[in-house]
Amino acid sequence: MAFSMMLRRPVCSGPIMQQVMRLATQPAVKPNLTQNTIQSLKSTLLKTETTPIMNSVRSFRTSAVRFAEGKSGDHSKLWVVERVASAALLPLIPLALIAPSKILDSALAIIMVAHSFWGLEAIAVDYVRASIFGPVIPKIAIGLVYLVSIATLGGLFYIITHDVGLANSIRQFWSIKAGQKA
Amino acid sequence: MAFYCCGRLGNTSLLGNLAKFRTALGSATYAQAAAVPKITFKKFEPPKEEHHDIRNERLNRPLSPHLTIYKFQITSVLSITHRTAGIILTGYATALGLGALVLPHDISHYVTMIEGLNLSPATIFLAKALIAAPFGYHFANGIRHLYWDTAKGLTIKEVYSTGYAMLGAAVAITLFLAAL
Repeated sequence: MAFSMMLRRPVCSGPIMQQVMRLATQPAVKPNLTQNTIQSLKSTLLKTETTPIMNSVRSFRTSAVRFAEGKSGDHSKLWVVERVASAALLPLIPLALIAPSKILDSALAIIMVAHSFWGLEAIAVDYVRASIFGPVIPKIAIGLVYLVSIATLGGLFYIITHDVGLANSIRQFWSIKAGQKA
Repeated sequence: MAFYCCGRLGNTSLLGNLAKFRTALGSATYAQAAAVPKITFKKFEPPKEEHHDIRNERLNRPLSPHLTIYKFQITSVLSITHRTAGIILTGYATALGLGALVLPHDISHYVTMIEGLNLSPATIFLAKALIAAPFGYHFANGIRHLYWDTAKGLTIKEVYSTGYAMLGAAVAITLFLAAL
């Protein structure tokens, strides 16, 4: 989650970075049109339709969150991180529950909250759209998702540090005995 | 063009060329009689960048029915259930986390409180099955999602067969956890 938060910082996605990317994908040699007419002068001053040499990194809108804000962003690296986190949860959950420990509890808390955050973010972006709710409410929804995730992580870490820990809490709850019949 | 016509004259028969001239002259007078509108050109301006939904909203375009008419199929049902299960599981985690922050007592207190309800074994099994069901489903379908993310199993046949296998696995996980 911290990684995704860092990628969303203005420094990583702001106009400076975009300008750098634009410069990196500029064509090395502009075509030599007839420089006499005003028409061709205009076309050389404005953006031309030439194919840049370094066209390997083409920024296009993949991130739905960015799209809503009107900016372009590359979500592909974060996508891989999300899948790695999901795959990590598969062995981590049974392991943490079978062998309770502070380390596994902490790893579980962090990856589980990150996973939930990405899920809730996808839900907010999919359903709370600007075309339906206007410009303000989608931002509030994303803010709430951040808030809930941070609060949950804080609470889970409180359990790990000041209480019996996550795995033991779940185990305790799960081993509630049935009432004794007289 | 005159040169071109002379060249053509040299190639074909005279009578045939007379016929061509006549039709050419005829079409010329015909064109003058009909009013040819003056064509003006406007410089091409690329359409301004606008979000698809915002443009449609601005043009007051109606939206075709989708959720209200499309048949419920196992593909979409399994997908939305996966999302719902995820929401429920997040609810569990948030309840645990926020509860720990705001509630006055520690976890063992509340566990003892529930034990004081003296529930029957059947009730406990049922409650555990209901609590574990979203987890079993989300876990099994999560594996299916990761399988798709490796670009495998994406044909409709495989989506269906893995879907049924996933449902079986979800039930098995749920019952196993409820029995613990």
